[in-house]
Amino acid sequence: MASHTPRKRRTWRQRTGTVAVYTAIFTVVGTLSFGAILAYRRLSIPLADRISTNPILSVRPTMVPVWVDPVILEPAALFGLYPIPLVAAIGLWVGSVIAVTLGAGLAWWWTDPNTSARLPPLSRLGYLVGYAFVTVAIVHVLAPPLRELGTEVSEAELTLLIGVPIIATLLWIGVTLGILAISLVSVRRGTDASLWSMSLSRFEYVAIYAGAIVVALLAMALGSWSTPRLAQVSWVGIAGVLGIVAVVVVAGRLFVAPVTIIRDGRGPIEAIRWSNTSIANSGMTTRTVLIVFWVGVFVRWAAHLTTVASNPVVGLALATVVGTALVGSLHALLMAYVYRDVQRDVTSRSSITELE
Amino acid sequence: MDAPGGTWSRRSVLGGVTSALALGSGCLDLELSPARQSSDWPQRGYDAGATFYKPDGSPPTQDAEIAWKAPVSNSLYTVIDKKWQTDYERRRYGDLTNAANGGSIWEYARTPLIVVGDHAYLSGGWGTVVDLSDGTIVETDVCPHRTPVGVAQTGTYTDGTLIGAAPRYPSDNRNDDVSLRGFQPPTDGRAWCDRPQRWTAGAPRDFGHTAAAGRIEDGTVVTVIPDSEPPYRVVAIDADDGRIEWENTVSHGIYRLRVEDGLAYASIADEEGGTITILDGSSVHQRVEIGPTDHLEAVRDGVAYFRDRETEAAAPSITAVSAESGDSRQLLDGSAVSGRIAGRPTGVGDIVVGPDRLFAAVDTETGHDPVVLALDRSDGAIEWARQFPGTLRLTGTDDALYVAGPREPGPHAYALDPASGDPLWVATLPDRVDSGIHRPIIADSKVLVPYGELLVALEEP
Repeated sequence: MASHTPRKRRTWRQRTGTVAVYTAIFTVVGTLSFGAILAYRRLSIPLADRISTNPILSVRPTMVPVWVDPVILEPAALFGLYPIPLVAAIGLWVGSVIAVTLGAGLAWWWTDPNTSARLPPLSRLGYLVGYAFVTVAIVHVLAPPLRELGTEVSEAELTLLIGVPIIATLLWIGVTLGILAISLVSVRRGTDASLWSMSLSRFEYVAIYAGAIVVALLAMALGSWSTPRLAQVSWVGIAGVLGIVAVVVVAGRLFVAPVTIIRDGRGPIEAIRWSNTSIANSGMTTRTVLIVFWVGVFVRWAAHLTTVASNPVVGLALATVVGTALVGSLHALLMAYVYRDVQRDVTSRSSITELE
Repeated sequence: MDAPGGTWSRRSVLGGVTSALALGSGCLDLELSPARQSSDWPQRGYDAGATFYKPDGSPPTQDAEIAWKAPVSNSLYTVIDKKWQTDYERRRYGDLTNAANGGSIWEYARTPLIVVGDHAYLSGGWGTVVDLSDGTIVETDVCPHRTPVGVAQTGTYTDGTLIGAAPRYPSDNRNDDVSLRGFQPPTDGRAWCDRPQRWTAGAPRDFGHTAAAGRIEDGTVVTVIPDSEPPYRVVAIDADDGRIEWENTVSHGIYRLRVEDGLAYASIADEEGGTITILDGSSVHQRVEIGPTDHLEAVRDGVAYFRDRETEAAAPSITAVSAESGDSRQLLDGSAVSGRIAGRPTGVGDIVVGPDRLFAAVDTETGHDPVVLALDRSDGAIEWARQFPGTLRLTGTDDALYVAGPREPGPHAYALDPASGDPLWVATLPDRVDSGIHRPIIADSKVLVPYGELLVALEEP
């Protein structure tokens, strides 16, 4: 048995202090981002509206905390700009990415109980900013065409896409319970061995049988669907939706990479490897994927704060500053908490390995 | 604070980022571009006042021959370029504020023909791009989800912005969220269907939709927000980024919109009477009652010009309203023309407003030819009158008044001396058409005449 040093429980005051640090930092970041939006408007560089689209269908997964942007600089708006506005447009975007990334990095550093220095080494911040640029740029390039493909999917198809897994899961649970119920009845009649002595592998067999039955049922149901209807299904659109899902899953597996860059000093590649492996081994993939998805939705939802105020500038300020303070803090905090859990899991695993 | 690479503090980090943002937001006042070319015809009516008068270019004045003819779709001209519309048609296709008619407005409020650089862009049943040098069809494309309104000069883009109307999603067939949008202008003669979008009018306030029409002046697009009831919003959109430069409201529907020197002229004319409101972002300058059949045609030098047709109560007339004083005066009294022409005037058609003269096509009672009039803009004195057979469509320059009309035995084009009305040349156009001859436009050295399913270019031999 490994001997762990008992973790010192944090007081409510400490927790409140941590949240206050995150909120203060992301309020500053939100203010800087709002300044960037004002600068874009001063320069007459077009920003695309992001609040008129559905936050779930147009979710943009992120691998680092981001600011809430009710408006966004689309690459199409850059073509044809004079050199000075072009440089300013790119500079403002780069500046905003740097600001939010540095903000998150400082928040993770200042709330790390194992550090005493007031600022992290410059190399770590550099790695973090580099990591942010690469991942943000990749998602920035990938997401719009995937989402464009996704718009080809009709609401009915989307319902089908979401509904089939839900129905299949419910059916699977139902069939599994049904098989177990039949087993229970047979045990009570004394025609079989005790259910409670059934080994885990036999439970797994039951689950597999149930799964096979569900797949067969769904295949029959889809097969009975008229062929012309199936021909109308937008497979390109479904591919787009699945592409977005894939990006969300990847972002989920890389969830704690930025934190380990700052707190452990890992390089970006090593951080990606560590995050991918650690989250997979600790069984937290589902949790982090769901967090990435809902943070993406929350960011888009927070952009709607701009409609609260009748004055457009006040609305923009509200969404950007308050939204970033809320969503950015939440995102960075969740990354830190998941990192803590992953780190603890990794530590305990390594301790067990050492004992063996 | 010690750190690898130097000594820096929390304050210096934040200060640096702030400085970078502040540096990027410096004031930039760039000239509007691209520079206008003598071939450009950037929107319907040439300018935001729709004067149909173009001082630039060198179209034929001594003689003319057909340079080329190109097969195109002019089908939408038959709706929007009609001289007379019934009340139903006007309400259905012309009411920019009627939210319920969004789809119809979207379909018919198109600008059928604009010229940018070396190419003419036509929208109709299908969109066509024609090379002005030889009439070659560069591209023909069905472009149902996007329609051009005009081309605007911009301060931040080197190539200007193509203003068009489009629904939010190309696949949206309901057309209930059509808005003016800014697109990257066509290059190399390619159609606008595949050009990237730069902005949506009014983002991020999200109008829902705007009218699918607007008037473009000095990098600003003035348009109207349709709604279920008044007051209706008139908004000026920056052609650079689509943001609102200014907005104001009018208390009546808007059938016609013209713009000059930053002032918007919004008018309605229906059976309940007519009104024109002249406004900008800061105030309503004038609100003037006009006749129920007075249609706003053009604005020049702060004066709005209306035409009407014969009613039981009055002869057709041209009315001028001053934006400065709000005074309304009759520039042309149809009954006064009767003595100078054969036949009784029944309605005023096309109007061309030049710096000194106003030219008008006046219909006459059955059995008599319509007439072209030249009026002194200051006092309405008739300088000359000349009758031609058929329906007459007008466009003017400093050196000539161009007239297109279907005369027996087929369509013809004329150039008249603007001072005397004497013919400078007459050209017979190919392919007889029963109807649908439209207003000529000027493109550098050519006069383009759209009619039937053709675009014909005339130039000096």
